[in-house]
Amino acid sequence: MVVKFQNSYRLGNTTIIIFFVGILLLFSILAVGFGSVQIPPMSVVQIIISKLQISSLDQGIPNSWVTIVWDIRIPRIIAAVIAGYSLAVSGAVYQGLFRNPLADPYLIGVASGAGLGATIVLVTDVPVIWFGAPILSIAAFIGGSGAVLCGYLISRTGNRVSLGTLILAGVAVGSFSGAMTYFLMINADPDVKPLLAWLMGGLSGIEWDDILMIIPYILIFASIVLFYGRTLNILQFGEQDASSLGVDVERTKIILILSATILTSFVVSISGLIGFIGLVAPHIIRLLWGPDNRFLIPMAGIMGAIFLLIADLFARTIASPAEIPVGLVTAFLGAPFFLYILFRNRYQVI
Amino acid sequence: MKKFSILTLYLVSFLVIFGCSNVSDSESKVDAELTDSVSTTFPLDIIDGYGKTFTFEKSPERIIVIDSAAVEILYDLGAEDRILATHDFVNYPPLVTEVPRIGNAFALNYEKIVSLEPDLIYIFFDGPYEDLVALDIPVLYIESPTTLEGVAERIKLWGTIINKKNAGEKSSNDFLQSLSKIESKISDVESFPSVYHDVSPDWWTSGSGTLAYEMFDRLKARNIFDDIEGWSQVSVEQIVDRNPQFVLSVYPEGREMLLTTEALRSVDAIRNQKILTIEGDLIAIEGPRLINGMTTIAEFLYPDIYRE
Repeated sequence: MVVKFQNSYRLGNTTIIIFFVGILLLFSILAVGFGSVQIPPMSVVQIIISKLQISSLDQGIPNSWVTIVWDIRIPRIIAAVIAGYSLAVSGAVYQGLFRNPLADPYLIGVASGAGLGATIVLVTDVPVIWFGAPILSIAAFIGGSGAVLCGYLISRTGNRVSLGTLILAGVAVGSFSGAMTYFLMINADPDVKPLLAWLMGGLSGIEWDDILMIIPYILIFASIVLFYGRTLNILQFGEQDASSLGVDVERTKIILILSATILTSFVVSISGLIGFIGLVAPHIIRLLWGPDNRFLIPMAGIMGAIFLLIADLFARTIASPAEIPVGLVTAFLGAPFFLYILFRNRYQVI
Repeated sequence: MKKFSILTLYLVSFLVIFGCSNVSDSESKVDAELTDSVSTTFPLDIIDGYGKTFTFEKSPERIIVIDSAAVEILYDLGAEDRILATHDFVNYPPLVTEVPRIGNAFALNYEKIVSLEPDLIYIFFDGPYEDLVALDIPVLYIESPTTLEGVAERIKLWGTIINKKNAGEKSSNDFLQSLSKIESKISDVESFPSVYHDVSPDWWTSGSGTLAYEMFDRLKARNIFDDIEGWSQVSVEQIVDRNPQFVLSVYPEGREMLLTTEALRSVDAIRNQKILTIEGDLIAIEGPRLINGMTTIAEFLYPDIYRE
């Protein structure tokens, strides 16, 4: 359906983006109406209106419904949108920057590093929350950034960073971190439930505080990345050509790697490890609309957000009252769709 | 990601198989004076987890026990000298730290197992069965019991296997008697308190068909997720909606996690701070300590009865 859309209509890029932002908004609003506990749509609307201080709450609505809508569903939906957007944008940036179709937020070791950071907190006596500070999230961020920094320092010669070496170093650092995590796990006291929770990935524990904590950083770095679409396009011709066209290649690399890593680490620190979106969302956009990074970066983000929103809706409703891990749904829904897109475009070289 | 999904799988199975674990302060009761007048007749035939007959030619003396519950039972029966080795995560009773380890359920050290020359290896999951048979080691596989009567039966069975029938029967009867003592103490209770069993911070809980479920049931408590089979991750919305009166948390950070979760503040158990942090092993390891777990939960659910 979407593929035909490309052939039958000639819409400007801006129109397409606005259209899909509209779809994202529509889905987000609809998603508030669905959940494990059935709440009539009119009650949902009333709860939101009362929370926005527009009118007072109807007496007939139980307090637990207010909590469910306002403190569970809405933060979770916002988190799905933020996480899906950030992971997909990071994926698009890594793929463009490394000129490598396999690059994703996990490739340069961010995820494994973050996992190791969290594991160290959880197997030692360090408290998960300390005087209100989310130690676990901070440790994950330090671990993720540490892995990138490690790869960066190894691949830097003089003032140049070799991207090939950075990817290889990232794979090595990632494997090492994964092995360390496993080693710590099997030698730890078997009280590993918080770690289990974190590693499973998922949006079920998200609260307003989590979102408010990360959203400023997400907004800043997601915006910075938007300005680099044109530069990334030029970089596709190779670093030397880009240099001769006036692009400060090294500076661009540092800014983009830093931004994408912060986006990934912060999202991972609240949602755990959700795979697949960062790899696949940019490819879908590329296959449908071509590789122009000015369009690709925002559009991959919007697609990632819609995708994770839908996947999480499945995760939280399909097995009610039980839940299933969202990572399972992203792979289960996403992989066949991605294979279909690849099949439809099989004569096209990525 | 693959690495992590394997790790996750490992952890989930781990969670289900071993439950939670902590160091406890209670002592194992070894009935030293007990003399065994009744002895087991060997060869002894028992039915294993596959429904096949397993024959003991004589009572095993050198046992590798890959099961926390069986280790506790053997200590309880005063047969700890027969435990040759156990798995990595056994930590009760405290003296067990001196027992050699041969890996965990997912990575058994077969060389070490062979070198120890056991005359029995006991497992409660069938994964390594074929491998151990191939190594020519007598391997007994029986699934863990999922009822309290099953636990009593299992204690008796171990008494028979190690030729301490009296000790086995005494311990088994003690277990059942303590159980009925608790049940009679709460016999007048007519309300059925609702309970959420907090297994992990991402809302894993127990449903029907689990040992924990049966323990709650015996205590006249209603597990709010009795419509779920086995262990599962549940929706927070459902916890809020089902509004449990009590929460049983089996990991140390549970209480703080629950009290700081905004979404739960309308839940009765959280508002009234009716949260019990209990060592997970006390309601997970299928041995004599389950009685301690039952008593702790009973005191928590019915403070008025137990205050007297």
